[in-house]
Amino acid sequence: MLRTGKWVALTCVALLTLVGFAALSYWQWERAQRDMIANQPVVPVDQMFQASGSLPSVNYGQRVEATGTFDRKHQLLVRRDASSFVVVTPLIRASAPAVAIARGTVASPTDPAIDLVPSGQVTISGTVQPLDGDPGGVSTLPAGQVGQLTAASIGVTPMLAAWVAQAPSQTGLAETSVAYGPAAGSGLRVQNVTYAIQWVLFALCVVYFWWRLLRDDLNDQAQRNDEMHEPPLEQPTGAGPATSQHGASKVTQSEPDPTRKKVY
Amino acid sequence: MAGPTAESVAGALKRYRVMAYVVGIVLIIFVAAIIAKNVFHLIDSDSYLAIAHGWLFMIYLLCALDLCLRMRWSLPRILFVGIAGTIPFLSFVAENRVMSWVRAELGSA
Repeated sequence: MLRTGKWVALTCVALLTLVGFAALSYWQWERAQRDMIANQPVVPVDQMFQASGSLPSVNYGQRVEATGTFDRKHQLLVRRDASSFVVVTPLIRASAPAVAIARGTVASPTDPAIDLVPSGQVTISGTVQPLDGDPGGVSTLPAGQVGQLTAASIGVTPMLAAWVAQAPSQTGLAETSVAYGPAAGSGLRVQNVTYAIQWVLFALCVVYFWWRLLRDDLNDQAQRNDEMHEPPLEQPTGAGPATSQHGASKVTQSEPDPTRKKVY
Repeated sequence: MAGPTAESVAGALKRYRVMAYVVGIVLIIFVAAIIAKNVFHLIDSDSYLAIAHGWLFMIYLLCALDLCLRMRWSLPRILFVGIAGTIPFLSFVAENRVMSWVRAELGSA
């Protein structure tokens, strides 16, 4: 007999499990992405430099922080294209060289958010990026704008030979796209990616075993029916009540049971 | 009744036992690696073992479920055998239990 109640319950459990496993898979997928950034510790920016003052390329994109006050007089815009200007403001520190902070990006050089510079002592975190090379020649850009970010273009000394892309960017400014993100070299966290895949596979297992339980149950029932009725079972096409009239005379008493689902 | 017989579960039983031992050994190595990483700082990463155990556990679970269904075991028993693949040393205990259950239900297997 295929018991309807049992199969409704089993199917509900299987569906709930599927939803749960899908959520767990998504959670691991999110972790795989989140950890790729969060795994990197935030270190003081000065630790990124060699004794000579240069920034080794292995440190490009590292998460760093620096504390100081912004010097708005030396702020400039780095023009990336006609609709992308990076707002760079030097952060002056008491007993350490200044740091060029890219506070964010604007679409227009007249955006009022450019001049909303935080005052007082602030701690800025972001990723450390290499300065551009000196372009040489004479700039044709308006005053306060540069095409390449170099130590000389900011005009503050002493200054670290790097810039920090503030992340997340300052409120009102868009994120600054960087050549060396925190993901550089690390990528998605493999462990969580495989866990995400495995939860999907577990979900497929649930479907498979649900089907297998159903098949076993049906096979059992078919065998029991075969044992009960030596000649092949007469298959009524109508519903329960119609067969029960004939059933009293023809079919054995144990067979029709209107509360149970009839499959074979 | 299509109940389990010694022949019908022999293959599934062998597959389950192999995976129980493999997963059990990998789990113990994994625990050793966790301790080496977090207590003694001897190694930087244990994620390779975590990933290896993840995939092996999947195979273990398939083999365990296959056996449990062939044996027509109850849900608590299936859960016990399945979860045993994630707890160090428990997979060895479960393997022992499974063998005694199979012997009790099917005679010597």
